[in-house]
Amino acid sequence: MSDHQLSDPLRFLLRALVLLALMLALWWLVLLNPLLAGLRLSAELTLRLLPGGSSVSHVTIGPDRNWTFQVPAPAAVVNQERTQQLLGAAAAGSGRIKIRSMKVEGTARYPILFTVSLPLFWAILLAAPGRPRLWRMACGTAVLAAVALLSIAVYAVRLVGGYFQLTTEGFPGFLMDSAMYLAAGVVPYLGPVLVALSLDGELRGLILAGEAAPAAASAISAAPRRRIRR
Amino acid sequence: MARKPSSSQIRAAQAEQAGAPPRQNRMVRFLVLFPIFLAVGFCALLIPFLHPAITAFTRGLVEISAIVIRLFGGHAAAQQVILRNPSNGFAMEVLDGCNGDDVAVLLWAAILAYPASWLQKGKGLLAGTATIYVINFLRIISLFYLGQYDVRWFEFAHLYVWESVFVLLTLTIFWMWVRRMAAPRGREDPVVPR
Repeated sequence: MSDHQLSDPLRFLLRALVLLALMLALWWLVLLNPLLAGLRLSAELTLRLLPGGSSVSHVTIGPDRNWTFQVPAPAAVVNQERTQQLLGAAAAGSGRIKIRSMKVEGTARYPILFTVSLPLFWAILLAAPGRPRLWRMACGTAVLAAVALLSIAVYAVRLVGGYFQLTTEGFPGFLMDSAMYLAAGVVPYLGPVLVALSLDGELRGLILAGEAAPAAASAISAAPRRRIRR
Repeated sequence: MARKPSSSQIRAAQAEQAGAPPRQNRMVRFLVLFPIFLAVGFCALLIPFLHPAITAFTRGLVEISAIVIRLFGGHAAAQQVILRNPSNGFAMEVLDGCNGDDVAVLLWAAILAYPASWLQKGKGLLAGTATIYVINFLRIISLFYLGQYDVRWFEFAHLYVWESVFVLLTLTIFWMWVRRMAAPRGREDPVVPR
């Protein structure tokens, strides 16, 4: 394998690694709190769109960065015998217990993880050959922010489902575990690559078609001429 | 004024003349097959009856890590999937998602979906998978030492830095493999469609 064939991918990797370090530092030190605040607000607005959720839904971030979701309790779930037992109806012996909403708390780790796709995406786009396009950055950031919101929804469903022991065992448990694995272990890292390749046709062409970057292509075409002169 | 075709465009045209499906068709095929192979790969990792095999692999990885650390004068002991430093009590558990399998699945899906001969795919899978596991091995050892230095740095490196680096690395390995296939061997040897 000659040098010029390796140079584009390796040059991209080195550039992307340096940019990733810079972007991660920017994300962690400057952008994380505003991003989490935006995600919290979006999650709360989404929850308010749920049936019965307009007045009871709240999402808060504590000083330890842990998230508390206050969500409407679905009547169908609350009225189940198992849920009633969980809520203590059998022990109290005072008929059915009614609740409108419930609070569940989750660790800070996952919401932070859902936003790590952004610095990775910025690093890939900025490292790609050619001029960085602002609209691509903006579109990709918006798409990944929407994906982060979806991941937060998966996380909230898991917390609520776990509280009612609906998603802890059997096939629903397997589905929930798989969804959470994808949301926390796959999407934050794979998402930026797929979004970058979707938006940046030049990078897509370079990688998928094995084309040479413009500068490298001219170097390749210039090389034989030099040999002839010698 | 018409633009002069690039060398890759000339190669693509020659491949099409040689009976290969047009480049656009190959890309569409890749874009259809890649998510399918990726989904199959991740489902395979999640299927409960494969867990014992994955855990056995992780256990082997931890054992080898402990041996290498001891060879270089460090203190490490493997206990199932836990790598421990007996001298200071630090221990870290290598989970299924931390053994490099998911990154290998990503590379496998990309290489298998790409139009190439089985020989080229086999070479790419072997070399790419070996590179991923060697770097994952270095990752585990680096995290073992980082965790003993500062747990917060361990968390940051584990969740954000190394995972992102792995994705970039996988993308680069795949890119290098595609470039190697597309590169002229002698003069012109276009991508051989399967």
